[in-house]
Parts: sequence; structure tokens; C-alpha cells
Amino acid sequence: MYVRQVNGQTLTLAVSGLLWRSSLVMIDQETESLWSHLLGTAMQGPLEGSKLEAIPSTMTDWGSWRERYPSTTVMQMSRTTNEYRRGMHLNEIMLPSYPLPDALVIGLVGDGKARCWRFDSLRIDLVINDRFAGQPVVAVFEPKSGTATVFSRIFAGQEMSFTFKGGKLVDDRQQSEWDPITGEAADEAHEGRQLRKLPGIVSLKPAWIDFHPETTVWSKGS
Amino acid sequence: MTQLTSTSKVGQVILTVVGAAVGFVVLSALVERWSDYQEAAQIADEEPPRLIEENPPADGSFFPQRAVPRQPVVTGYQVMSVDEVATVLDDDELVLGVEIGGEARAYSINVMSGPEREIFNDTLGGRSIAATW
Repeated sequence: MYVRQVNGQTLTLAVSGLLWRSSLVMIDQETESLWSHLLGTAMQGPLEGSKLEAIPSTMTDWGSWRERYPSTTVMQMSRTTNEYRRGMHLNEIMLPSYPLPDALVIGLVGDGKARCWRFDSLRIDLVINDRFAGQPVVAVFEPKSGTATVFSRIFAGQEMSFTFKGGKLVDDRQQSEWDPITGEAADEAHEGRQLRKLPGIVSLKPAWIDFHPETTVWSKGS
Repeated sequence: MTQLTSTSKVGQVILTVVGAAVGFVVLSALVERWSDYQEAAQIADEEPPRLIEENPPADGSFFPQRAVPRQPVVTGYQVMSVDEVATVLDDDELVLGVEIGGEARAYSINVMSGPEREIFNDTLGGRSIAATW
């Protein structure tokens, strides 16, 4: 998910029909620059070197999303033959295009670095308190919907660590509860407050490594 | 006088015929040039940029190769409310959700499919966004 604006110019992006490293290359209608879909960087054309700002989004199941955002709208378009369902994130259904058990990761990029957390690891630990590019972050897995999310562990200027209890994230400062998908406070003490969601990208692991060869992959004890 | 008129009429006919012929030649030349241009534009569009070597360069630099023709922009679609979507989207289907400035929108993964539906130009919470995964 990107903000399609660069230096004040709004861009209209389309599928260029080109592939680079087996991944989509986008083209903007305004300048005809070519953009890497996974990097969000203009690789060729007048805007070469520009970057699109990545914004946090959440890959989750419809039931969990509408429960949390009852006033949400949904893009209206006819179905395809795709059958992407939460079972894939829970490892109950194999991905049609990539039948390997460790296929999915959620990754972060920034500061010339990249790090990813395997769904396989997340399914076991549910919460991974970690650091990325010097910043405290937490990778979370909501086990009912199979939703992976990454949040900052800085709240109100303080670093926190989390555990997973009763379907909620619980911080070590005040034992407050937080929703593991939205990061919204689930108890009265912090009502209306929210953990800062980071633009984690759910991706197939081989594609992630291909595009971010510098990536580190979280593993227990590392 | 009659002679003159007659000559003038013949002249007019000749001029009209010549005019039409010239017009036809010019027009067909234009049409031909236009279709040549169209063809050239199409070839240019189908040919991958920087296609010099047959294999991607070893340094991993940008080397796009054409897989499908360029796709039309996807924008200006309608949105539905939770109630409207109830009959078309199951609870266990995957969506890409985004929330900006208090506005939330979901994109069903099962309607996002390449190559024609991979990038959605949208506006949410006052920001121009591209929904893609």
C-alpha cells in the first residue's frame, strides 16, 4: 500500500506488463516512469530514484476487519477465481501458487535495512519482541484470523515489551491490553490510544529475499 | 459564349476529378502513415525497455522483461458498505485493509488478480493511495 504522490505530484499507477525479478513493474501515467512494485522505487524514467511512501495496511480476514471497522467500505468489483482464505495464513490450506509450509513472511524495510519474520515462527510465538534498524518493534500473529502485523514498541515515549494473553497483546509497563490487529487500546486506561502500526509487507519468502538480499530473518535465539 | 461555357464546364469537371484524386492520394498516405505510426507505437509499447542482453545482468540492476501488454489504469470504482457486501464476501476471505484519518477500506484479495487488477488508484482519508499487494 503506497501513497501515490511524489514531490506534490499525484500519480496514477498501472500495470506496465513488464516483470523484473518475477515481480510486477508499475508505470505511472503522468511521467511514464517505471516503478518496482515491491521496492516502491522508480527504476527508470523521469522520476528514477524517487520512492513512494509505504503506508501500513493489514492482510486479514473479512470477518476480523469488519468487526474492528464496522463503518469500513469495500472496493466493489467482481470476483475472480482466486480463493485466498485465512486457512492459508494458518497453514491449513496450501498456497495454490507456492505449496511450501514456510512460504509467507511479514517484512519491514527502512534505513537501507530489511528484516522479516516467518509466519511459521509467528504461529508458534504469537508475539516477537524485536529490534529493527535500532528501533524496538513487535511482530504479532493473531491466531484466529492468521493476521500478522508489526508495531512500534515505543508508546508515549517509552519502550514496552509485549506478551499474548486472552487474545490480546499485553504490555509489560501497565499490563494494558491492546488489539493484536489494530493496535488499539482494549482497556479503559488508554481508551482511544493506539500502538503505531508499521508498514509490514506480507510476502512470499523467496520474493522477499530476492528483492531485499540484505534482509535478516528472525529466528529464535538470534 | 456557349463555347466558353462548355470549356469552362469541362475544366471544372477535370479540376474536380484531379482534386478528388489528389485528395484521395493525400488521404490514403495519411491513413497509411497513421497506421504505420500506430503499429510503431504498438511495437514500441510491446518491446521491453533496455532489452540489450538476453539474460539479466549479473549485478541485478533493473532489467524488466515484457510478460503481458500494458494494462489500463484501474480507478473510479464503486465502494460498498458492510451490509451490502454481506452476500458477496465470506468472513474467512482475505482482505487488504487500510485505515487513514478515521476512514477504513478493505480490498478483497479475491477480486485483486493479475495482470489487469493489481493496482487500485484510490483516495482515502484525503490521501491518494495505490492499493496493491
